[in-house]
Amino acid sequence: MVQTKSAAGFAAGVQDYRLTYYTPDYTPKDTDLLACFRMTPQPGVPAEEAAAAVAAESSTGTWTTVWTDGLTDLDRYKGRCYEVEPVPGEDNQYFAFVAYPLDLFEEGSVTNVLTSLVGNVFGFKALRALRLEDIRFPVALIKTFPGPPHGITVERDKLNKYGRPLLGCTIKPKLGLSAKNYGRAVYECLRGGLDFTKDDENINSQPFMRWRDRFLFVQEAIEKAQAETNEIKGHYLNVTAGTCEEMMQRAEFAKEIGTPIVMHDFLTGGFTANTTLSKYCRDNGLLLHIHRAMHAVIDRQRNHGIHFRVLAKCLRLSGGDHLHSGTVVGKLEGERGITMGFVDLMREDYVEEDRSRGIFFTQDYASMGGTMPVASGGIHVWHMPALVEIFGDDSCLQFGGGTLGHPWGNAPGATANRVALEACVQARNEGRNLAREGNDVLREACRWSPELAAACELWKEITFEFEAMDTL
Amino acid sequence: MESKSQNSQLQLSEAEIQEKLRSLLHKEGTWVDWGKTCQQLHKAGCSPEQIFETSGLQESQQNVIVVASQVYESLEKEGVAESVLNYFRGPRSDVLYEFRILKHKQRAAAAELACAKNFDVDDAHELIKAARDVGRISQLPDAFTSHPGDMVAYLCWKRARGKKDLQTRSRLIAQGLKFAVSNSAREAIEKLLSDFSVATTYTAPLLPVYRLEFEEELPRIIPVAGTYPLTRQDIAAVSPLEIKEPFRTITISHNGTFVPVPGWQAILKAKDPVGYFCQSELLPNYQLGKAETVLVIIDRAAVEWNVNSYFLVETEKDIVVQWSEEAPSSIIGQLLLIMRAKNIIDEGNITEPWQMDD
Repeated sequence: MVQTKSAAGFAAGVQDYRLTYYTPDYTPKDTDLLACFRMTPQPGVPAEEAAAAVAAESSTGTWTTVWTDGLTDLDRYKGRCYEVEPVPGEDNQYFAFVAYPLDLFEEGSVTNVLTSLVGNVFGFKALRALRLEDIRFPVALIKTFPGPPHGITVERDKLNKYGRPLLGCTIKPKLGLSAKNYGRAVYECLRGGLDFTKDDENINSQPFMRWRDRFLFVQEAIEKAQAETNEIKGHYLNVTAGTCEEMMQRAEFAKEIGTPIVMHDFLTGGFTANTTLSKYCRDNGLLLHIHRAMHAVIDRQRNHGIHFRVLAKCLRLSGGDHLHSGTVVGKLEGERGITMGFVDLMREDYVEEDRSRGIFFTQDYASMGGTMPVASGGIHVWHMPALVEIFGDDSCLQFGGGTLGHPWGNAPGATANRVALEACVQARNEGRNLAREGNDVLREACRWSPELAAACELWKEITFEFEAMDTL
Repeated sequence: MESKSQNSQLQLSEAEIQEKLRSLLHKEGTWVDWGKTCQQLHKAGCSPEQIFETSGLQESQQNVIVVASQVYESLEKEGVAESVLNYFRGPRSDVLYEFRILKHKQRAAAAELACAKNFDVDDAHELIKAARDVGRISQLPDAFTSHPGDMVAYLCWKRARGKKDLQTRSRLIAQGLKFAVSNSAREAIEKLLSDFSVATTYTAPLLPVYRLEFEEELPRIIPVAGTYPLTRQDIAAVSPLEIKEPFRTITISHNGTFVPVPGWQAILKAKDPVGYFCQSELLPNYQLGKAETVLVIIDRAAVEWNVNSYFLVETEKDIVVQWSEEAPSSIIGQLLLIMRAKNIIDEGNITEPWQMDD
């Protein structure tokens, strides 16, 4: 094999990265892990050099030539930047496409992949900003990840609920309720027709409500609601904790009391903890709901950080049955397309490259289970037609304020949402156009559901017929 | 599905319910009949579990055939040909179930295509994904119609055009041809077959184009009056520079000394800046370590006193930078900044500016 480094002798010093790591004639292999970075080089640093530096620093390279380079088969292990292109419509920004050999990554470790790809390289002074836009995980690597503990199909079987999105609600206020009052709110929401209720992301085990008390009162509420409605119910019990041992202790207790689903904050908790919990959930028949607290710190800047689609992909590999994905409604067309792009990446088995939706690589998940997107926050009954149309059946719609803010109380709020949901699903199945007729569908349902009528009276009617995209 | 929205409840006698459960158990008729029967039983108050226990139809199956039978009914209403309906009455409930998100007209078109091409459930899933994704584009290229089949063909055509890898490109072309309905769509995709001009060529490097993003990124050239001590005349003798935007170009027609200063806001807003070099210990209230040569920049255009600024003023003996509680008699200019030279703490480490943690 031809070596990149000459065997003639050791040339100490600093070399241009592009001599080694920029290979525009390279055709990526099926087994390569591909990454797309959005780079903003410092003025004066050529895009190819910056891109090569990214490839180098995220794989085998360091800032100077080292003696041990000669002991390494660099051509086998180095990352290669194989394409650099300007970002359309943006100044000073480039997409850099990098291919990494499979051998660079440990099997089944999202932590390891991210440590390489978004480790030191993000502090690089040659770059003003850097954002990881997308990753293509090769099938050979995908098969080493556990994936979601159960996946969408098995979740539906466990819940015995088919043909419609699931309904949920976050119990508010976020902090301060006693365990007993908390359990009561859970019971009212579940009895009213919701499938799930949810701990807020920052409810762990505070002095006003220790986790064990919460788990017990909530489980009592679940069982009572199940008995009254003859449906399977659940509450996302947040098991996020300060240590993995404590987290596992809470998960084990949740399993002991027979709760169907637990919850984890995957970014604040970390991928290692998440994968550990996910494996436990699979082994013990618990569903796993994932909250994304802290994501905006990582994904909000347009030119720096990590795009949420990457975090979502990584979560699917690490393991999670639900993942918060934003509500989409009310967003601009472009944002909606991008959001639906990563929603597809969460639950479809095979997703084709589509730049208009922000998908840079075709991704084959090789039959890995899907993660259900969760639309949560700021939504109420009038949003229901849009949510059903946009998210389809395999989603979880979380109406927090839209349930607990109902003028008649929590249970009527839950009933209103359930009636609205089923009316929209039925109308869609009958072939009606929800974008155009959605509000009519709700008004028809209001005639026989006073709870829905009260909710529709309280919240403001919206229209959501999509603006057509003008760009192909 | 336990339903909260069964507004049209169906009244069935116990005997009718038992008869319907029996017919389900014996799987009489086609899946369309089973779906309708399940729907009636749900409306009559039978739970999915009860139907499962009696008929063996699992809850998930009940959901599929109920929804698929609703889609089937909408096809009947659209007047789809009997041969197509007959095709779907075979074991095709899973295909029709996928079509539930399509509107009436799209359902009919999709059903006819599925029948003609013998779609399986994966093909049907592709079709509805394309209809969902492409449906919001206001106008497709001329070659493609709004038929769901052409929508899949359009996506394949669009993706194939962007692919260099021949294997992937061929796969997409084949998939596009499978779904294409109109001749024009088929021709558009077939054109890609003869366009295999993807050859490996050496890529020219990108032009080094940079957009100036911030005003501060451009330095400002400041004329220098000399080294302190100086007189008022020395300061006044320096000609102001004429600056032309957008690149802050200057034309120099005389000899002189100039110094570049970062385009900090304090410098940019100066109308007539002049600099001079000075030993730091000669400045008032200077408490920043050992003596060094610093660059003092003043704005000659700012001669109006204020209590929050230092000024270069003329005294009986010389000119000095000073702060005073009251307006001095002879102001030469307002002090803008005192720039110290770059301090190199660890010269060895900055040979490579992006040295990182190991």
